Amino acid sequence: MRPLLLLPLVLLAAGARADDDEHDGEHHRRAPSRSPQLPLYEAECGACHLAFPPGLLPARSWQKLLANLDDHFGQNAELDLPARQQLERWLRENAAEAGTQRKSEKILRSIRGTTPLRISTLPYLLSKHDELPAEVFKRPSVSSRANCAACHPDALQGDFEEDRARIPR
Amino acid sequence: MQQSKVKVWDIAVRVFHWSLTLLILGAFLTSEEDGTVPTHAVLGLVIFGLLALRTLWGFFGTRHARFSDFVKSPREVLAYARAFVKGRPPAHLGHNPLGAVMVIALLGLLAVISVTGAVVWLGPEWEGPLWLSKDAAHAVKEVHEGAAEALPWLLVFHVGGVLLSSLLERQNLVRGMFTGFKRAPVVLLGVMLGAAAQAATPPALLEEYAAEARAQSPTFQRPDAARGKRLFLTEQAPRGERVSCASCHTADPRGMGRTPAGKIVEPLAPAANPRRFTDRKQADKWFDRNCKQVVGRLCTPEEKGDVLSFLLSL
Repeated sequence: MRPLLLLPLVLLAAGARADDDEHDGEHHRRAPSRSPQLPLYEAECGACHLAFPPGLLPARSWQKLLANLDDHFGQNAELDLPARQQLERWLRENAAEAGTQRKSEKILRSIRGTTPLRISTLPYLLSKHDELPAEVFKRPSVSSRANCAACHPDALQGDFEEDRARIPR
Repeated sequence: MQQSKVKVWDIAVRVFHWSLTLLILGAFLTSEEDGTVPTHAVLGLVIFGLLALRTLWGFFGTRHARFSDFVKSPREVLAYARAFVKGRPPAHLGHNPLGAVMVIALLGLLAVISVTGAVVWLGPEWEGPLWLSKDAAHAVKEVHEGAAEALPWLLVFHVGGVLLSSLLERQNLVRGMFTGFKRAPVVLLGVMLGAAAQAATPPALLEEYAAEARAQSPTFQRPDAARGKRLFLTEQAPRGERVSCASCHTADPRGMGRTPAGKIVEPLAPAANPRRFTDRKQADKWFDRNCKQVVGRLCTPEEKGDVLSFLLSL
């Protein structure tokens, strides 16, 4: 299992980044904390779309998504029960409420108790992208608002810093 | 390949086989002398009865006893014969297609022998109740004797075929007809138990799908790349939106595709991506999801085999 072999490396890297955060404490723009990783999540959910950092949605949203995987935004994304349960637990533990993502708090505030399902149209994220013409998201190199990694190379790690975003042609 | 024992021949098939063997031997030994003719006639009558029972069992019996399990089209028999001559016959749990030809030939010839024998016995030659002209009775007797002389030749080929198959399959098929058990490759065992066997290569997975398709439908011939290509490219709309496999994998599955969420899909054709179709569980998971998406239902083993056959042809 290659993903499992990678896990210690990821943890090491995460530890290194955490140290950096402490040293950078006085800076204005702290490097974002690393989004938690789970090989199963990356393998199953990440096969079709970015393995969105779990901190982008509240636990209730993840739970609702996992309960309706047979119609996942019009796609069949069914999982067997053990996989679904493992993902449910992990997503609950790492959801926006857990505060693993710096943006989580702002996202939670912007949704005001609703249960959003679509990350790409979260009010907070829409407002962050409102200066971009709609055409950008239709480019073949981007193709979807859900394709965060097209412009945010380290989206998987939860890095959505504007400085590091590069919009492809 | 891992192997294990599977029950193939039920008790009726085995008792039929070996009692028929003994009865035929007895009939041969009692065929020449006038004094043993009554015994010969009784043995023939029992053989006829057994043939009738076996024929019924061929329609209503257990899986591998049924004609539908082993009688194949001439094309399939030829294909199997070619593979057999090359020394690499595909595995069959029950009778293989050539063995099935022998089964039918033996049953047919024995039916002819026992029926003509009965006519001769009941006819005028031994002053039985059945009235026949002398010429007709003689003709029937000629058929009876001619067929009886052909029987040993068929039996030589029958035993020769069993011994050759035993060598090629590296298992004692004669013992199998005593115990009822044959050794099955895991592929076939998986089909029997309905469990997913693990295929390590795309061609092995293709074989698994083909074996399952064969188990489901005796008329199934082999996976067809052209049929697979058609299925791959045909747009359907089970959820309203017109989609095909090519919607994400593109019409050339050797290249990259893209999901609706914009994520790159690695090439699907094994020639372009050696990791594809190397894990049965993964392959089935994606077939299940995507067939529901595109076709609106699960795909049959036949359809999976067709599509994989198309992808392997690229």
